[in-house]
Amino acid sequence: MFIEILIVGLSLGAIYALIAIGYSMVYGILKLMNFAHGDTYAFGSFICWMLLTKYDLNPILSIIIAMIVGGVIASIVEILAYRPLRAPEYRNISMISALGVAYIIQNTSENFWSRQVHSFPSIISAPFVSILGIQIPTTQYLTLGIVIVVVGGLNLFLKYHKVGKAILCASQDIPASSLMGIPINRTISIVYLLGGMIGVIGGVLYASSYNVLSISMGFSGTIVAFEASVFGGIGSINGALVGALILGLLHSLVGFYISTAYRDVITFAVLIIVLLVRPKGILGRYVEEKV
Amino acid sequence: MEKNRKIIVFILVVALSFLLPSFVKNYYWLGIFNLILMYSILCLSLNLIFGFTNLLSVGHAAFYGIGAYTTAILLTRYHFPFLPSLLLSGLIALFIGFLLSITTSRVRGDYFTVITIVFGEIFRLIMQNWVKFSGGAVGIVGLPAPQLFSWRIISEKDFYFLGLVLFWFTYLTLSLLVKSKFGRAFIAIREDELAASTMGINVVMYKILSFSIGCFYAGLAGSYYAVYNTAIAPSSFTLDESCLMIIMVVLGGIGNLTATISGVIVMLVATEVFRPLYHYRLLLIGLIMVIVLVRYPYGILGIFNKIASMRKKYSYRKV
Amino acid sequence: MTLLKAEEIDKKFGGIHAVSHLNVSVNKGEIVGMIGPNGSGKTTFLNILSGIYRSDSGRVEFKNEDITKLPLHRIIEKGIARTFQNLRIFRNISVLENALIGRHHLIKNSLLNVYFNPSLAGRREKSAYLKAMEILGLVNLAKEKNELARNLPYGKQRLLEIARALMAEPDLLLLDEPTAGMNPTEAVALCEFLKKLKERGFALFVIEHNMKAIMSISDKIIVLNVGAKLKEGIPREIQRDKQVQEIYLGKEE
Repeated sequence: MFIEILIVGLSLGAIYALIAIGYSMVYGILKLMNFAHGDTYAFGSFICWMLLTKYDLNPILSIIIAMIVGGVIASIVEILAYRPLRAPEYRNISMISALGVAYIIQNTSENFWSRQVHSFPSIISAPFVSILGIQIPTTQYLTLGIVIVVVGGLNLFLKYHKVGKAILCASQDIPASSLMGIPINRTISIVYLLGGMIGVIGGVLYASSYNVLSISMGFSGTIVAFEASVFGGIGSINGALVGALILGLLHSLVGFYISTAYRDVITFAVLIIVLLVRPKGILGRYVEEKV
Repeated sequence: MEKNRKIIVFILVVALSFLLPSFVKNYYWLGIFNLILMYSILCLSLNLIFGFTNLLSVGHAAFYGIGAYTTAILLTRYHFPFLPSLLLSGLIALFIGFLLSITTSRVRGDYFTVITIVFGEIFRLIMQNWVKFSGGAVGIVGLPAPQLFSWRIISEKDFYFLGLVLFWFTYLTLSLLVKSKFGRAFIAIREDELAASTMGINVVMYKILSFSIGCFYAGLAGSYYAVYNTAIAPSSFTLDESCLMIIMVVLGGIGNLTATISGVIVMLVATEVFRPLYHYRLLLIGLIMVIVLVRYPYGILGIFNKIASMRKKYSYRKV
Repeated sequence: MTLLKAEEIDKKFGGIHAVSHLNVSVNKGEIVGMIGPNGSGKTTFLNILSGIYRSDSGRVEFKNEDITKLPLHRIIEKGIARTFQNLRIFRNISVLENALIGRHHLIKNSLLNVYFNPSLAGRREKSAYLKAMEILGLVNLAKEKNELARNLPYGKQRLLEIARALMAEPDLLLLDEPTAGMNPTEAVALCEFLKKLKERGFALFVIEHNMKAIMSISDKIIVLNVGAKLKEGIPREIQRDKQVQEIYLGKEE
């Protein structure tokens, strides 16, 4: 039983990782808490759902279209609502703007699809896989696989590809990167695009694994992304992964052994403790401000 | 002298505000004024926290709620008189604000903001689920009419005077605070934390002070709301409410107490005007937030300043 | 009388040895200059003195009191005030308010005073205001007292930062490149002003790149190179020193 809870926790954490990565990357490069992140990928997940159920589209195609929609929306949001407020003195105000965007997207989704909980069709055919005598739902197995591929791919991308390296540079120092010829605006748009796309994968996986799709998973997803980033160290992809896995395990354990209603309260308490004891998270690097 | 003139104007305004119900008898309009007074208390205190000290708290509604629940429980379950309940509402909100801020005042500003958001949600969740304590989603109903000594506060007009007293109390005490060295310390923290530290300001301590004091007034406002509405439920203390308060503060003008009231009035009018479009209410609030902020990061005050400075540029009168 | 004594100050940032076994002392009423190529550890050392960084080892003594482990915001109470290399004034408030903030630790009003003893609080504010006008007068900023700090020209902003530091009535003023960004006329005026401060009894510790300026005001100069003290002496000696010239200009072929 305990092993199963652990595996549930890990696969939940894997989904959380997909959601957290985009959020963490954006913060790493712009020091902005993108409150609209969750609602963006939720919107994308709804698009996927609509394509699957109303238009009977092929699952892979639906996901890809949804990913593109999510990514594009994220980029547009950046250009319209965050870019004008990029200066450091507008830090807090840009966060308020992000909240406003979250409301806009949430309200739009609400008007299209209403606040009720929808059921999401399962994408996987074979329901269970047996490993070492334990029955694991295929979705969990698949989720872990997808996450490993995505995170691995991202790491390689950031390390070896030109654009990836540009992202890393911009995360450290925007003015210097700009002087070195890195197109900052384009690079930032790509970060948002990627974050949105990967987030949609996460949203779709969550909806299909747990057979729930509702608007509220947008904002709660943003919170999850934040918590995962704090645990693992914000600004880094691997940090988001580690933090998300820990969060998934925490949610799973608390949900089974204590209660689902107070799961969020306990997570909050753990969050506060982490912030008091190790604010930079597990993999975080503390960047000292140059005086 | 400039200073004496200001005092006379101020006394006139206070006097007029107390005489207002003689001119405005319509209960609908009095109700609007009551809302303005209550939100002004909330936003003045939020301006202290955010406008002066740059602590972006998007969980102010939770402390509003803490005050409301304190009063509701004390009045309905323990038959407390109103005045001590009012005071306790403020103090408990202050205390919880204090607890929250001592754990979060050392962290980066952005983290702080999300923590306040999560705190607000947690508060609402707890109130929704802890049925024995808070009445759950239904909340607490049947609050008795408050009584201050021999004055029974029942009608819209009565609540207007109660609200007015609380408002002037808030406005005066906060004005004294921001003009003092404490206000300057808050502003210094907002402008440059490191330089502020170098000038002898214990940044963490002052952040905690600012936040806790702000929460006190939110608690007072919550107490007022509880008796005004005679019933409270978790659905009144949502993230949307906190966002609305933030927008009122920003719109009015960060760091300017008097201007806050203009932000309150504008947003309340806007929500009234948009009432028929209820389904799009949040969308419109969001749009306002984004458009206004992108264009006028310094709020209505900033707009006025721009107009004023343009007038100065083009007027040929000696300045 | 020795005001400041920094002994064996050492600071590493990861693999970089920013400050290495540094020994510096400043006497009352003395102007000590510190020069050195970029990256030699001058600002780091200043940050250690003013409490922003904690040194890895070593000791800082001020007026015979060990202040090595003192938290940042307490340093000014002991009598040390500073300015910053990249100017950290409070931009969105007035010149007067900037100055008043400098007075923060000397205005003894508590919250209780503010609310329950307003006349006492008011009197203390009034005396702070008078002091501010006096100091602003010293730097010729009295007329601009209500001007927003961000609207001042750069040279005046620098003076404002010094005025703000002076409001704290320090014994020692730490100045990080005070003439940076100034034209020669402004720099000369500032040097005259700093000499006037010395006459009034202030001790100054000044980091500078402007050689003319630092040579003209300093009683003694310390030369830093890769975190360690290369030379210490009076300006004329330093100017002639071959090693000092080398670290700035390179070896002669």
